[in-house]
Amino acid sequence: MRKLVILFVGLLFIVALVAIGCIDDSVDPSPIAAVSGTPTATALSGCETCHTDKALLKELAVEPPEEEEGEGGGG
Amino acid sequence: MEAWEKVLANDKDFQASVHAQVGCVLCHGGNADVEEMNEDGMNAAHEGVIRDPSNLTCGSCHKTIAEQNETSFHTTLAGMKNGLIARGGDFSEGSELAQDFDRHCNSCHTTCGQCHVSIPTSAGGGLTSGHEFKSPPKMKDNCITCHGARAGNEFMGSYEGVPADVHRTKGMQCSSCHGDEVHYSIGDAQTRYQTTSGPSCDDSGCHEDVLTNTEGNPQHEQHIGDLSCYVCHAVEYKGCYNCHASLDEDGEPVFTTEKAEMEFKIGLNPVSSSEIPAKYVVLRHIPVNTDLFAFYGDNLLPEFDNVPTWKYATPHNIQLHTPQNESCESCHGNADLFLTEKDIPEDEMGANQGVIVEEIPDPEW
Repeated sequence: MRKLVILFVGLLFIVALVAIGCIDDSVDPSPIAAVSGTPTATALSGCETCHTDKALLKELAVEPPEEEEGEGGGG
Repeated sequence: MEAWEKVLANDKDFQASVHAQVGCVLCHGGNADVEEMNEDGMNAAHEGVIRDPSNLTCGSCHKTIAEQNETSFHTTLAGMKNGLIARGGDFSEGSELAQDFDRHCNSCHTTCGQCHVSIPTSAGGGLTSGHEFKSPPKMKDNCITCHGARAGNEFMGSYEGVPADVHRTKGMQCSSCHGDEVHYSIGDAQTRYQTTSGPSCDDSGCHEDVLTNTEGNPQHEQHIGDLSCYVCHAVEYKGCYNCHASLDEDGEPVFTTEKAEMEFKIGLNPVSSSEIPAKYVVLRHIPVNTDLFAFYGDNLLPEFDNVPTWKYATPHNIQLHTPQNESCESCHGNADLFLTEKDIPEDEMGANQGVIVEEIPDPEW
C-alpha cells in the first residue's frame, strides 16, 4: 500500500512538472496553426533528406555570397 | 566551420520539437518536393529560399517578445547610433553618415535566429546545434562571437596574465546575469546604462545586502556609494583606439584600429543616475575619434566633444582580490590608476573634461 501511495505521488509530481514545463505565456498555444492557419500533419519535409546527409552536403554545399558575412568580435 | 557543416540539421532534439513540426518550407520557403539529388536539384529546391526568416515568422508565435525585440538595442544598434548622434552626426534619411553606418555597423545587428539557432552572420554563420533552437543562446557560439573582443575575452580569461571572471570560474554563463532584458525596447534611453533592467550585483539577489550591510568590511564601509563595484573588483581590460572606417580596393567596407591595449583607469562617472550613483567608476577607451568617418567626408561628427571617448565600463573580469584593493595605499596616491590629463591626446581633451580626475585621492587620507 505504501509503495502504491509513493508511486501515485510520484506520478502526480511528474505530471505537474511536465505541465509547468509546457506552459509558456509568451508562446501562442497553437504555434503550428498560428503560422500556417491550419495545423499540418507534415513533419520535416523533403529538405531533411539532404540537410541530414553529411556526404551529400559535403558534395553540394557552397559558401554563401561574401557580402553577407563580415567581421565579428567587437563588444 | 565548413559550408556543409553550417547547414547540417541532423539534431534529433530539433526533429522532435514543435519547430520541426511546421516543416522547413513554412519558414524558409523553397521547394521541398524536388527529387533530384544533385546540383540542379539543389538549385531548384532553394529557389526563393529565405536564409534567415526570423523577422517574417518568429513573431507569429512569439508575438510579445518579437515585438519588443524590434526596437531593442540588439536589433537597432541604437546605442552606437545615439553615440554618434550625440556627437553631432547627421542621420537624416540618405545622409552620408546614415549610409556609412549602414555600411559599416549594421552588419552586426542580430535577428532571432542569429542568437537562438545559428552563429551570427557577421561571425561567419552556421547552425550551432543542428537547427535546435537554444534559449538562452549559447555563450561561445552566440554571445561571444559578437561580444568577444572585450567582454567575452575578459570573462573567459583569454588575455595573458589576466584571470577569468570569478563568476565564470564558478560556472556562470552570460545568461546567468543577462536575461530577457536583451529583447526589451527601452523607450527614450540613449544608452543601455539609462535603463533599469540591466544586470545588477545586488538586485540580482546574489549580493543583495552588499550595499546595506557593510559591517566587518572597512573598505565597503568607507567606499560603498562613492565607488562602483568595478573600481575595486575589476582588473585590467581591453581599450581600443583610433578606429578608421573606409573601403578597401574592392570597395568592401573595412575598419582599422591603431592600437588596442590593456588598461585600467578610474575616472569620474559620465552616466551618473540613481541606478549608477557612484562618483568614481572605471572607464574604457572606445574606438572612436574625430577622423572615424573622415574617409567619407569632412567633419561628419561636428560636435565630437559632446561625449567622452573614455566610456563608463563594466569589465567582465571581476575578482575578489585585485591589485587596487590590496591596501589603502594601492589606490590612494597612486596616480597611475586614475585618468588624468596626461592620458588624453590634445584632440580628445575637450570630450573628456567631464571624466578626468583632477585631484588624486590623498595618500595621507
